[in-house]
Amino acid sequence: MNEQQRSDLLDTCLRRLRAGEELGLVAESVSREAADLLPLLEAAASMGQMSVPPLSADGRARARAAPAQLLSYVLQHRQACAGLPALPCAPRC
Amino acid sequence: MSVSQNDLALLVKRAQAGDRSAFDAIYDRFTDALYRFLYSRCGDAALAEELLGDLWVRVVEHLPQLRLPEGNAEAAFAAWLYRIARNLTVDAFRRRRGDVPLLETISSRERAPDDIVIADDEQRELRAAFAQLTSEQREVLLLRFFEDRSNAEVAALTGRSEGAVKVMQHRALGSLARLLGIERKRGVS
Repeated sequence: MNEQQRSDLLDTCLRRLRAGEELGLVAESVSREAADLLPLLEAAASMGQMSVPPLSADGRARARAAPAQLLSYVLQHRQACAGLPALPCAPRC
Repeated sequence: MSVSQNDLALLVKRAQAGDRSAFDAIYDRFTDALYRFLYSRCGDAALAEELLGDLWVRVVEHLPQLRLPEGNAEAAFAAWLYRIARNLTVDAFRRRRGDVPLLETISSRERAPDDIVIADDEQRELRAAFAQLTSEQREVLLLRFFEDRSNAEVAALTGRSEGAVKVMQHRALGSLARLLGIERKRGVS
């Protein structure tokens, strides 16, 4: 079995587990490869328990402030240029 | 609130026309997922937050030029956002080359109180193992297991084929199992 086939088989097992099948049943159906696949399936289960630190309120506010400021500038600039004729060689507002 | 594909295409058009509320809706729709993606790439919450701000600035700068394909707006737009995120982390790695590896930094606010020290140890072990994966492995695992994306979606977001995503997933879980000390089973009862 090559790497792509092993990867496909692992993916099939993961999908079955996500669909609610028990690990024992899934392992039984791939008994020849189970020894190799079980640690990977356990690692996948661990991934489900890992928490990513949430985006802090401060970080969220800062991440919003900079683009909001730029957006305001762009919109003001656009309005200011709205009545002016476009210059052939200048970037359009 | 979820945004359907048609709604998203409309939102992007409105944002391109300068509608601030449309931009806010796009921001709300994607910002948490993008933050987690950035965190998975760099392993540093403070840096991920900083890069998130840079990302949205780039979105404002480049959104007017963006053209989305008909019928596949959400996937194309998400792929565009994730590409910006990936480029930002690459730039950050380049800037920090020679410094302490990004993934060894753990922000102090991640630490749990003493009364949940066991769970905290497990989380720390898990995050430490996750941090030792390659950035490509981390992004695939995050998109598959955190964001619950399909292989096709991960392929579209990361510019790989579905087969390559599966191989990356296989390698990533193999590395994670080794790093976590999960032994190869000697037969199944």
